[in-house]
Amino acid sequence: MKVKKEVTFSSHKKTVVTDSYLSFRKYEQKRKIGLFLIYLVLIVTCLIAFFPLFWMFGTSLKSRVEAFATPPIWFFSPKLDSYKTLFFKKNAGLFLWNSIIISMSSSFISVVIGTIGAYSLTRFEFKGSQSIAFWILSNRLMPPVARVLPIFFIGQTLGLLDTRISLIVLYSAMQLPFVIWMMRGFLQEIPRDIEEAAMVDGDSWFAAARKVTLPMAMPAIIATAIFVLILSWNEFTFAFILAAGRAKTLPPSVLTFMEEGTVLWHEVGAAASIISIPIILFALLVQKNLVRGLTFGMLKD
Amino acid sequence: MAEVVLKNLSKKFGKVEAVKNIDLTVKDKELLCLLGPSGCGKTTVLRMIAGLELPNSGTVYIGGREVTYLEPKDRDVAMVFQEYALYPHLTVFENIAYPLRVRRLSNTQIKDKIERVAELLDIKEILSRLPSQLSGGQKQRVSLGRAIVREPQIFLMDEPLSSLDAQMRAVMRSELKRLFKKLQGTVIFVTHDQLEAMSMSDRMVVMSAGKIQQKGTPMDIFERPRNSFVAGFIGDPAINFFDCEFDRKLGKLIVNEVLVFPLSKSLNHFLCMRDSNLNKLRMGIRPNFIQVSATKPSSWSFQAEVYICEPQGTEEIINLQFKQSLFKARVNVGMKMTMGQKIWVSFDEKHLYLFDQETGQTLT
Repeated sequence: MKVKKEVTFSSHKKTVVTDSYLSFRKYEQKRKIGLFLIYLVLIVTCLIAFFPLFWMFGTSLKSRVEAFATPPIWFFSPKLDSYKTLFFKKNAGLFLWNSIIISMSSSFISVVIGTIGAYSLTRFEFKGSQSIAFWILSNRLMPPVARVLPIFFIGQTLGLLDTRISLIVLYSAMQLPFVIWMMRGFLQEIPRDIEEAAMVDGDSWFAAARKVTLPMAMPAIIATAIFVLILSWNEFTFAFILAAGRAKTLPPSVLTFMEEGTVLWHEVGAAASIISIPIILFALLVQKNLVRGLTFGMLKD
Repeated sequence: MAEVVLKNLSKKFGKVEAVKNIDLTVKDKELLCLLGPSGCGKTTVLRMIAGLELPNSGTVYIGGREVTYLEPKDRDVAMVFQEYALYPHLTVFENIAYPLRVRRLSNTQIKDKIERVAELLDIKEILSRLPSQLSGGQKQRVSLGRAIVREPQIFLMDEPLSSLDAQMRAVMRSELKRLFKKLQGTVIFVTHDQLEAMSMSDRMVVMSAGKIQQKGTPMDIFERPRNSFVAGFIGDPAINFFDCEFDRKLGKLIVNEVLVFPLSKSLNHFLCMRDSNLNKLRMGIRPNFIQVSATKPSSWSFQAEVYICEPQGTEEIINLQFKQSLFKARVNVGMKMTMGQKIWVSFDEKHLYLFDQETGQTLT
């Protein structure tokens, strides 16, 4: 609130226009109202954003009749029927297990290999290291879908269609550029003089990397591994093309829940929940590590 | 402790020649300083002694053994880095124990040695802390402890005091020197701070653009600089330079075509003997040898205008302007000066340095 006040300087008086709060209490009140409004906006935004997830989960707990009702039913008694159908009749347990195995394996492999690659790109100066790094990034720029057909033929020729191994190898290769690029950025942030101190103290470069750089890079490695895990878990295209039966993962399996031309919404909802809930819980568990790893590069000790 | 010998050492980074044919011998138990401006190659030389860089040509000997292409771990050198390079995930105790653990010493041996070092450096209370919880001075002492505990052949230090605040620096200058004298260590350190170099080293090596400009004791280098670069680099405030022309017939030096400095007969004779083509010279006079007075003195002098004064406590640094040149004089506090005041300036020939303007070599 603007107010005209008379202010006395050391040599003269002057009338100035300034902000004034009639009292400290009013200032506090204004602040509290402001905060309240901010929280209100945030909560409404969250509700709008999460609504589809809630609805999807809610649908999974309905019976077939309830799921198809128009206008949509808001209040119902939750049933686990759709989950039972999925797990006992439609083999969802196998798909879940495949997803877990494949995501975790490919995440582990790509992070291990990628970190080693990133280390050599950042620590060893050799001709063309810049070009190689950029070429690796460029691999990621191409839409994976463009490679589906050749990959299919390779898989078919090698007799690797519909095996978990083929998906693990494929995902590891697909995530490798991402891992290398992220780890390269993080490793560049780690000051070299600590490794050099270890080398002068008596370590070979490999021992110094293992004992000094690795612990320091751990938050970054975990953050990258989490990213890769989520990417592998959600991958649809290649899983759909390459794994039709035994090795199928969760995302393509959702398609199988269409029966006689109709989409079984309650079962789709259940499938989607099975796909999302584990990963959401996992992310909640590791979010501290994730944030720490991502902001690692911005802090200087 | 051991002697370090560098023979004909050179290093190129791509097209840039960072170090050119360095020949240097560091005596046993000596504190040697590599001094020079940024980019002169001094850190590269240090790193080649440590083994963190490998030279393109030349040899490095430590304690009589050739180590030119050996890995750092095989050279038995200890290094203190500019930013201390402490292991952030280890406690102070483990940081200092690191080199001992690599060498597979037993736990009791390690504990013994660390206790002694902690006593020496007064870091007993912080042994269980992490580096992020330490102050700059403490970090430096831990870094020193890690180097000392190994009892290596030589110590290398990369700008050891530059990460400290001014007060700590003043304290550590003397403490470090005393420490290394007590340990009887051979120390090579690198700095761009000439005050640090002068006060801490037994011998100094001034470098510029990859080459050694002069080697010698601090007093040697201060009083007898070999060229104008060394003269200008050492001394605070820096030496004053005046470009001038040598008139051999009159036996005088002419500055700015206005000021005429009369040379004594012997100096005149000496200069004529040196080189018959000698014409363009550079005069150098240190600020503390310039005398100022309010009235014209009987000996040779000229008038200059007070540009600004910098009081320093018991002394004052007066910035003076004569025609286009600015120069500084250091005097005891006495005269009252105001900006723009004209005062009489004089100096004695015996404190004068003369350099060849082109090559920079000292003539006197």
